[in-house]
Amino acid sequence: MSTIERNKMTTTIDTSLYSELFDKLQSEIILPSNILQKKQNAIKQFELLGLPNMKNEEWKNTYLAKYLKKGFQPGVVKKDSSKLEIITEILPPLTENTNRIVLIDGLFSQELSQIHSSIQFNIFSTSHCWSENVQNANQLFASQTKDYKQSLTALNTALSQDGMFVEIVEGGSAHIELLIVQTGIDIISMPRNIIHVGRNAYLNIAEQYILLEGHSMINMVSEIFMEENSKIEWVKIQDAGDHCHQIDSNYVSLEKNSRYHCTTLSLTGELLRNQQYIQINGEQAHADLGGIYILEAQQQADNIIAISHNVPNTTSNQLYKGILDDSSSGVFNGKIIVIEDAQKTDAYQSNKNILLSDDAAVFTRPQLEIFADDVKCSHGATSSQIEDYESFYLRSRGIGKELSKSLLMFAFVADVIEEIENVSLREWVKSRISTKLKIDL
Amino acid sequence: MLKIKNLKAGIAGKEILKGFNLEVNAGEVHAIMGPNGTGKSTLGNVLSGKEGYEISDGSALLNGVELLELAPEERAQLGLFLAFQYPVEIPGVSNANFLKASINEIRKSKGQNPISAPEFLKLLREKMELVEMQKDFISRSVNVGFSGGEKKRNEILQMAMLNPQLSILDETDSGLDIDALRIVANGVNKLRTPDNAFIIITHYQRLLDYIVPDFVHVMYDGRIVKSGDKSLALELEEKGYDWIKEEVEAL
Repeated sequence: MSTIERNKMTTTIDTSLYSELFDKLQSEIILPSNILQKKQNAIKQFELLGLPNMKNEEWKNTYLAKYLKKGFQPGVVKKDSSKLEIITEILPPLTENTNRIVLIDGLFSQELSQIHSSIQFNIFSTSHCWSENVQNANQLFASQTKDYKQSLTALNTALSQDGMFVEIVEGGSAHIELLIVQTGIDIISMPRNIIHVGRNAYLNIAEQYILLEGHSMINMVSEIFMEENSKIEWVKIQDAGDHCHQIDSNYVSLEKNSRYHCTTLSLTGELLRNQQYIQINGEQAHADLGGIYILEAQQQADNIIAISHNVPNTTSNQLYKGILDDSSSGVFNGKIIVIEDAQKTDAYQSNKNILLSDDAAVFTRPQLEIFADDVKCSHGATSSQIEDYESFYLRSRGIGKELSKSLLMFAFVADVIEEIENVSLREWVKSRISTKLKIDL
Repeated sequence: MLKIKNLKAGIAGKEILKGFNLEVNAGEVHAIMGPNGTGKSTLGNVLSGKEGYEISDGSALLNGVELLELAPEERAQLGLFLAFQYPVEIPGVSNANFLKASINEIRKSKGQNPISAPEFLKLLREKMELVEMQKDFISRSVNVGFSGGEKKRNEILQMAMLNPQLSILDETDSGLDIDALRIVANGVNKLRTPDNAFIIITHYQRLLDYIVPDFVHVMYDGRIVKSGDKSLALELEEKGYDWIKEEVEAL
């Protein structure tokens, strides 16, 4: 049986809906021909692949259809200005020197975003790049994602209406606060971001989700291009309540001596799926991926990672820590690919979990595909409980059982936090985890 | 202050404490010595409430309150302290935050308000001097990257901060060089008052050169088989434990 036939048989939600929608979208929005071409290719790819199902290795433990059945539909998101006032009220206070980008149901909000004018960077909405034919952005669009057979990414390429384009010029730097606001609509929002960090440039992003009411599903894709000597520090916090479903994919290419560090905190949400696809294309480049998931009830967090070491002398590090209670579940798929020429690769991967309940489950699949012979690759995975001896130590100091447990949970994930170099990002992560664990640190 | 009567406790069906008796009064320092595997550390653990032990008989009263029925934190809140032989590392939690959490949990149990930040820092600085801790210690994670000596000094610092009535030091001298031993002993000596008491569990006499005990007890096969003053420790140092074993077995 061919792949296409098999997918048709097992897909529970009809993909033709999505294709019809694509036609509708294209009739409403005028796109430059190169973008239109890429979108047409993507919808064809999506039609071939179908929606992901549990026969797909990367979706083996994630039942997407179950979440789609909650009423989420593809659709054209229309701008709704009536909610701006109420959204303004719930946004966190703005910090100085930070550029705020607000996406509302996947659409770039010109009203709520606050971008400083600077010669160091350009920030536009993706829709602006399309309507004004901003070549820097449009050439990069889908250039990384097209080679991946990821159906949801293809869907995003085809159906995305907006997102952010961030370009840091050579030697420039920027701090961005990315607020992804969902107003509670049934339409799956599909923001598409393009990030280009020039030579010797620096970017940090503090990203978080906000759900206004009801429920939400989001399928966000970011393509990130890092030039020589550039650096990105990115923290993603998913903590907008249990009616959130987030599929978030970063596609990253790294040139010589660049450093990418992304840390994901999955704290609340029914489905939190983080995908990181990294291509290391320049020597001395380094990718650092960190993740913390602290789950309860029926929450599920997936971390899907694939790092390709394509040239010699590169390094990567994956450090993921999970604490799972009740019947929550976690998936960790960590793939390291070292091609034949990529000698002296140093790749490290670790996934450690604490299971607080018999019903909690974690599915860890380390995958190493190594074709070079002079490399250092290591991986490790553990599932354990909180040690009685450690708990006894804290309790013997007068600290109650619950607080002892929380402090030890914090201690368990502390090394992921410590890896974050930027002080304000690190303190932000620390305070969100402290709040989650109800401790005062 | 502490009255232990006929305490019998074991682990996984094996009895380790076999009718242990001891009375400790305020102002006293008791040393408990004995060969390995006679139940010295079990005594400290059982008194402090470590889970996993089966207590089959006996009682341990601290100021008239039965300890054996309480959770470990409740015992600590009543003024019991155990200095661990192997202190636990707590990454990401600074010594200052840990001590503050500890002090505030104890205060909360007594219906007191949390300690104020200036008051806490003043107390911490004062006690850090006692065990010769460097300034950066405040922000370092609890026991992470500490040398053996630093970990033991940290135990004494915690003890000083919590100001317990009864402190049990479980082999605090093991793995210490002579300088660390001196600092630890010095800390304990400065903390001695007519109102508190110490039980010092040790294998060697060495620590007792610095902390002079009022009573020395020899433990063998789960109970005290011989008691005396500090000269007993010197005798043990000289003659070893074999003569004790022979004496016990001859009975």
